[in-house]
Amino acid sequence: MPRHRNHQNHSDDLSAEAADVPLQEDTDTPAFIRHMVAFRDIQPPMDLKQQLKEQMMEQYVKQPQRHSRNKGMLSLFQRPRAMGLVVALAFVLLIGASITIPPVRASMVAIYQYMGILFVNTEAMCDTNTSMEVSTVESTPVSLTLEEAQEQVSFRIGVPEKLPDELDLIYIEAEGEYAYLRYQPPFTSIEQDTTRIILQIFTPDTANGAMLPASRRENIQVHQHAAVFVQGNWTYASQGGDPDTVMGNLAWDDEIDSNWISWEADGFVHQLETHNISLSREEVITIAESIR
Amino acid sequence: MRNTDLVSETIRMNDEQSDSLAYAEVEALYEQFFDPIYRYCYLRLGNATLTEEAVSEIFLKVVHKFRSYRGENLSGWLYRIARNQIIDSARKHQREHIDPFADYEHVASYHTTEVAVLSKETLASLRHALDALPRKQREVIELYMAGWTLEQTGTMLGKSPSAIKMLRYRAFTRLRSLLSDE
Repeated sequence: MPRHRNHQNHSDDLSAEAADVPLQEDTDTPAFIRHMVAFRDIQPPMDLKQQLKEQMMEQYVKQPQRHSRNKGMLSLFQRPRAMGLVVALAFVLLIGASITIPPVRASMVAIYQYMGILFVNTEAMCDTNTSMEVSTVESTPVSLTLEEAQEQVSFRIGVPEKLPDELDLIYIEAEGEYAYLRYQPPFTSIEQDTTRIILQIFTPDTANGAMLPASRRENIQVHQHAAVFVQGNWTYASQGGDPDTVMGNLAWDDEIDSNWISWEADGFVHQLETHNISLSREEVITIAESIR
Repeated sequence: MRNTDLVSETIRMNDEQSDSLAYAEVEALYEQFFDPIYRYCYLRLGNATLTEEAVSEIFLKVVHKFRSYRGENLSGWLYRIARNQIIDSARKHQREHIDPFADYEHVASYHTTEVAVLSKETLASLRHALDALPRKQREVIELYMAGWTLEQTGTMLGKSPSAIKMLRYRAFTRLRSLLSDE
């Protein structure tokens, strides 16, 4: 049961927790904070709480008991992941032993030969073979500097001047008529929930753009060019999303913290994406408009 | 008693012991989180009947899934169940015209004098402003209003308390501006 706390204490908690500003500048606590604090005092109906608890605990007892986690090898067979790990470990040990322990190696070779597998001593062949030239293929480096990227493309790569402080330009790819720039906090790996902003520039005839649902497209302007703004992202339909906006096994989820702006300028499509950074629509447009 | 019987008996006793611990854990989870979950649902759904339905569904789902739950972050798990349930409830009732917080006086009748500061209008206006916030900012404020502490919110959302503090700060700044425009 939440304890009833007095109003002033709540406000103090809130302003202290909320960081140094802005609440302490005021002589009076703003009304909306008093409303929030008062909301915390709402207590659910006791009869609902009691009834639901009884129902819940009754259901819990009716369920079959949790299986013991300590049933030795039997439980291992019931857990495919653990079993897989054990098999992989045994395989690694066997390979290691066959390389490092001569008697084991001899036994393994005998078994392989029995199975019809013949080992050829390639070291002996080195002397007789002439060296073979292997042609090398020039590939684009994994990440470029902005200057290097600019040299790889036929257009000018504009970059946003206004960005959240915590983001750095971490990764660039560029070739011909395509550029990809990713901003994220330094020393973070790229995971689904990584905070990041991505800018892609490409020609309209290529399929580099994201598939954004028509029902969510909002017409806006960026640098006086017609642009489209979309909020949300695709998720697996089995995990939620809007059942009326689907693409294969994906469904659009407006709740996901992603924003998209796409516009065409000088014959190139610019697509700006923000993920997990809690930006408002206006802030995303400001970032797009700061691209110079 | 044969050795195998002894082993089976030990396993059964261990099962019973671990199950009674799990039972206590479910009970404690309920006692700790029922009130915040109720407030969170009411804040999101704006209707007491829908809230009661949603809260019941949430805790019954907890019961059904608890034995198979293997993670460590129970409060985060509970929050995800609650959030999904609220989305489901909102979808289910999206065609019905629900006047947000119209039943607030009824809800407030259970409560202390502090809640008298609130009214249907203030709540609806706050809800409207919350909806204008970016998702993560909105989440931390909703969780604050539901009654979760800074640390609990951090655990639930998988963020550090300082990150939550920063999100709250941004949210307050924006709310202040949004609500002063009204």
